[in-house]
This record gives sequence, structure tokens and C-alpha cells, in this order.
Amino acid sequence: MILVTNLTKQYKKIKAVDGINLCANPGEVTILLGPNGAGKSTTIKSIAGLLKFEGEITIWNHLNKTLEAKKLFGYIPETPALYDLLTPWEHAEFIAKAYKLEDGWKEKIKSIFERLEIFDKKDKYVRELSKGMTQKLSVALALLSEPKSVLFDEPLVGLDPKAINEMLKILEELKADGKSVLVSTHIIDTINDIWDRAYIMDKGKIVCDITRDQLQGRDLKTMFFELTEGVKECKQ
Amino acid sequence: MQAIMYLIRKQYINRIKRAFSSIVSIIITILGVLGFGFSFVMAFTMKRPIVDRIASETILAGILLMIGVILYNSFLSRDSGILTMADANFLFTGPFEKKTVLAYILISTAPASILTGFFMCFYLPYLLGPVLTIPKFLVVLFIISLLFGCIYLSYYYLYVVDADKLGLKKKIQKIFLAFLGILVLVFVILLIDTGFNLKATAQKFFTHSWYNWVPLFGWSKWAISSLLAGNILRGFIPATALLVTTNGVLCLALYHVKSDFYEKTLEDSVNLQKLLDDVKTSGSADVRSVAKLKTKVSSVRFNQGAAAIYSRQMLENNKLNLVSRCRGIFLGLFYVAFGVIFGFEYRFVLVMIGFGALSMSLNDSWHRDFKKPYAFLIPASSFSKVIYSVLPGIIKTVISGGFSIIVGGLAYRINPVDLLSYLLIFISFVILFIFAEVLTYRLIGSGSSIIAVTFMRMFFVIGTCIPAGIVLIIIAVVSKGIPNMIMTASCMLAINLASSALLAYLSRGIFEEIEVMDN
Repeated sequence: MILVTNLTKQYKKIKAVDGINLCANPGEVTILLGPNGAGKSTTIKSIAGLLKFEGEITIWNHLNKTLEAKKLFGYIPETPALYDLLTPWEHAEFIAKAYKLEDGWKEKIKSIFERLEIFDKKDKYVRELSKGMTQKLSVALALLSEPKSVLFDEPLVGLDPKAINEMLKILEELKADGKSVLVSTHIIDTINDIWDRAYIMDKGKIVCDITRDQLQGRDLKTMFFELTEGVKECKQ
Repeated sequence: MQAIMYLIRKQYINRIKRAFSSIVSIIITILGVLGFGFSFVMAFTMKRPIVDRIASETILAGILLMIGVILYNSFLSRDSGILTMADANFLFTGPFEKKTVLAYILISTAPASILTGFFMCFYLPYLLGPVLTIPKFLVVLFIISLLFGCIYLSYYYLYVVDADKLGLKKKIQKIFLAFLGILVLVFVILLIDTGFNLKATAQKFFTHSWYNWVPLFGWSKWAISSLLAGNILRGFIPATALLVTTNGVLCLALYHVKSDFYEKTLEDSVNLQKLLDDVKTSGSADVRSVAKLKTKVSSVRFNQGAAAIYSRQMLENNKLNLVSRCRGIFLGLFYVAFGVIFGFEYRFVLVMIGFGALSMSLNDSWHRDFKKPYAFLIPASSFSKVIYSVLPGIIKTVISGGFSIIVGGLAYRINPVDLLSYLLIFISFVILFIFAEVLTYRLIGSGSSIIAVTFMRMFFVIGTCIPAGIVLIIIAVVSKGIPNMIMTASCMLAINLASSALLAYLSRGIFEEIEVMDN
């Protein structure tokens, strides 16, 4: 599980994240909603160990910047950051070596590539792939090490409808496998059917923490607009 | 560590593989390698004039100091990053200890140093004369690689430490400037002592034994000049030992650094990515990607039609700080000073200024508008769009090169009519060269390798110089000898303008074919 306690991140004079607490439980899809500039990406990057911050973040009880924690989580960045001169297959081999995966990794990545329809591109240089393809590759690589927690930063941006469906299925499967999944997004409609817990962020703070059960027939999207436009307070 | 080594190895192997990925690439790569190889073999087999030891030592020391100062100044004043976005993403979030990430940086330094060293050493056989044999050349390459190793490692170390101790880099920059100040002060004292004889001062300054003790630059010069003079025991070995030890100390310091540099590196990797994207797009890096922008508001009067492209580029230019905008002028003035100090002829300085200005024009961003849908959709002729896209680059290169040519002309007391002729010739070739670049882009697009782009540029530039050459021969035959300079220059300008217009016309498809935008 991912546990964030009193996370604060300040960039010079701007407080991007202001003392937030959140928890992504195993077997749940936790979503982080918020308008642009709400602090979602900063939160995800802090959890991924990329930023300096105040507060405490643990992943399955290990501090997030430790080697133990890094072995347990997968991270899909907002913009795919891949090596131009490596092929998808070589990326996978690099990940296999980095995470010291068993021999079966080749079959595993083959099935992930096939599922995301990029297997036929496995020997092309990344610089020759389209933006959507690189996004799919980014997801495939994060899943190869079978992480116990997965961080998705805007995972649906740039994907075609079929890939979005596949991505939602993957999220469901991760959830069914007991993994803790944290997704930062602002595309509420698409993710509406699969989330279990939602945190709505605005101006660096969590303005609402709600589970699907607590929603009691209310619409998450309407609630989101009410909260981020300052009309109502969160009522659970 | 195994993963890191795999990553480095694969990237280098794929770079080589890419050069052989298609028949055209294979031909271009073979031609490029043969060209390089031929120049290299020629450098050692042709009869080279014996160069005066003091002169060669002075030139070598001057070049080493200049490159070192430019590199350090650029590193210390800009945050262009040390890792790419992909590196930052995989290495910082993957199961790697900080020491492994630092080891990756350390290992990557070696090939970078050797490659930079090789490019720098390329001209040394001509500069140093027959005393530089092939075995000695290899040792010189090793020494210069050690120098670049020290420069890169010290920069990485400062960068990483600065991530935790903000402001350290600025302090080091001040110390570096103070160090340069001391060197300048000593130079000025010697200048007064030699009765303001620049050449004698430079020789005294760089060949004096105390200069051997100047960290890095003095040591490198000491090692090379001792090697060439056969002074191995008391010159080459101690100087090389100093460089090797410094590299070792810096490696250890960098490997054991405790700072948390991930956030800053990730932030700066965006800048580095922009540079790499520029290289990917046009085969060269654009200064605008990482240049510091002015804080005050800039404005420009927007022209209509295709000229709006020109206005947009000028607006972008106006937002750059003075140093970024005047790099060409600084380089040109440096060549003038270099020529005056070392007693080179004005024509040599002129060639250097022209070469420098044209090389810098490769880093302009005219290609950026080629991919923009808004430029594609402007309701104007494609020919005019090509012209207006390129115009800011031409103006900038003409101004920076022209200014240096005039300053050089004044310093060398060149006849005003001759100076005007030189200016016209320079302008004509700037226009021609830039349009040759555009046609290269038109024909082979942006996705090609740097070698391919460079080769095609050279090919077109040589090709487009032919009409001017033919006209020159005709004029010489008709007037029974070369007529006056101003007439020749005017004819060359006219011919090169006509050739450029033809190149621009042939390139107009850039704004007509949508696939160009898919690159």
C-alpha cells in the first residue's frame, strides 16, 4: 500500500502540495482528481521519489526513496520518457536486468506487448514510434516487474479508444491481484466505473476524500466541479 | 550495475547500427568515414612545414585555455542538465542506488571526453607540424581527453553538490572569474613589459615555466609540449600524473557525494531534452532551447501574411538575453584578437570569421516554423514562407559576421573598398549557405542522421558555389585577369542571390507537403 502522511512540497514561493494525507490500499484503484495545477503530478512525483518534500511517504511500509520501496512500485510518467535509440524489446531487457527478473520475463513482456498491440513494433527504435505507442510502451515496462503498487500519472492521455479500454481492464486486473493502484487524472468520465477511492485536490490541498460506497448515488463529476469551483464542501 | 552497462553498451551499438540502417545511410556513412580517414591520413603523410616550437606551444596553450574557459563558463552559467529525461525517469525510479546512478554518470564521461578530445585534436597535425607523429598524436589525444575528463567531472560534481547547497555554483563561477582575472592581469603586466607587443606577450605568457603550473590548462600544455620536445621525465610524466590524479580524485568525490540531486536533475532534464529534440529535428542544437530569457516585456510589430513568420521569430529573438544574441559577435571578435595576437593575415581571420558565423547559423531555429501547422496554414505562397522563415537567421548571421569583419578590417587597417568587397562576398555566401541548408532539409527531412545532414549540406554548398566560380572565371577571361575587388564581389553577390532564389524555390515544398510535418 501507499501511505502519504503530511506531504508538503514547496517550489520557491509556491506551495504546490500543502500537508496532504492519502492512502492507496491494496486491491483498490485510488484516483487523484483535480484541475490543472492542483498538485496531482507533484504528489505522484513525490511518491515516485523524484522530488524532495516534507512529510513521510511509505510504500508497503518502506520509505519511498529506499531500494526496497523502489523494487515494489511501478511508475508511468505523464510524458513517456524513453530512450530514443533503444527498441521496445531492449527497454524490456534493460528493465529485466535492472529488476533482476527471472528467465520468464520474455514471455511476460511478449504477452503485455501483444495485449497493448505493440509487439510488431518491438524492434523499432523508440524515436520511430508514435506518441500513443510510447505511452503504451511506458505502461508495459512499468508492469513487467509485477510491482505491488503502481503509480499512473495521466495514463489515458494520448491513447486511442481501444487502448483506453485495455488500460481500464489492466487497472481492474491489478486491483483484482491485490495491488495498490494510484491514478492521477482529470478525465473523470472514462475512469468513473473502476475507481474505489477518490481524492479531489485543489490548490495543493485535498478537498475531498471519498470512497465509492460513500458516494451514495451522487455523481463524482458534479461533486468535482462543485468542490473545485468552491460552491460546496465535501459531504461524505 | 549490469543493467547500467547494458544501457550504455546498447545505446552506442544502436548509434552505430543506425548509420547502416539503409542504403543511403550506408553510402553516406562510408563517405563520411572515408572523408575523415582521408583527412587524417593526409594530415600525417603530406609534407607539413616545420612549425616554430614557441609558436606552436603558444597556439596550443591558447586553444586549450579558450575551449576550457568557454566550456566552464557555459557549464557554470547555465542549467542544461546532466541526464536526459529517460535517464532521470528510469534511474531515479528504478531499483538503483544513488551510487549506481553516479557510476552511470562517471562511466558516460569517458567516451564523451575521448570524443570531444578527438574533435579537438583533429587539426593538431597541421598546427604542430611534423613533430607530431601518429604515436605522439594518440598520446596527445589521451592528454586532451584527460583534460576534458577533468572539466566534465568537476562540472558534474559541482552540479550534484549544488543541488543541495544552492548557490555553490555561483560562488564557484566567481572564483573561476577571479582565476581568469589573475591570468588577464599577468597578461597585461607582460604586455606593458613587452611594449604592447601582443605576439611577444602571448608567447612569453604561454611558454613561461610558471604557466605549466596553471591547473588543468597549464598542465595539459606542459604535458603535450614536453612530449613533443622529448622532455618525458621532468615534463610529460609529472604533468600527466597531475591530470590523472585530478581525474581520479574527481571520480572518487563524485562517486561519494551525498546530495539528493534527483529533483534538480529531473527539472533540468527538460532543458537537455529540448536540446536533444533540436538535434533530432535539425541536426544541431538551438541556443533558444536553453538560453536565459529577458524578464522585461518584448514586443514587435507583426507584419501581415508570410511576413508574420518573420515577426514571430524576431519577437522570440528579442526575448533572449544579450549574451545569447551576441554569441556570433563574441566569436568573431575572438578570431580578430587571435589573429592580431598570433600575427595571422587578415584573410585568414576573414576565413575564420566566415567559417565561425556559418557554423553558428547551423544552430538557428529557422527549421522550427517548418513543422508548425500555423505556418503551414498561413494564406501566402510557399516561396515567400520559405524566405521569411529564413530571413531572421540570415540577418543575424550577416550582422554578427559583418560586424567582426569590419572590426577586423579596422584593426588590420584594410582599404575601405576592399573591406566592402569582403563584406559583400561574406553576405553572398551567408545567403547561399543558409538556403543550401534549407534545401537539405527539404530533401532529406529532419529524421536523418547528423552525418547525412552534414554531408548533404556540404554537397549543396559546394554545388551552389560552382556558378559563382564559373562567373569569376568568365570575368577573369573577359577582362584578362581578375578585375577590381568590388566588381568581383558584386558579381558574386548577384550570382549567389540568384542561386539562393533557385534553392528557395526548390525548397518551397516544405510548406506544401503535409508529410514534412509528420517527421
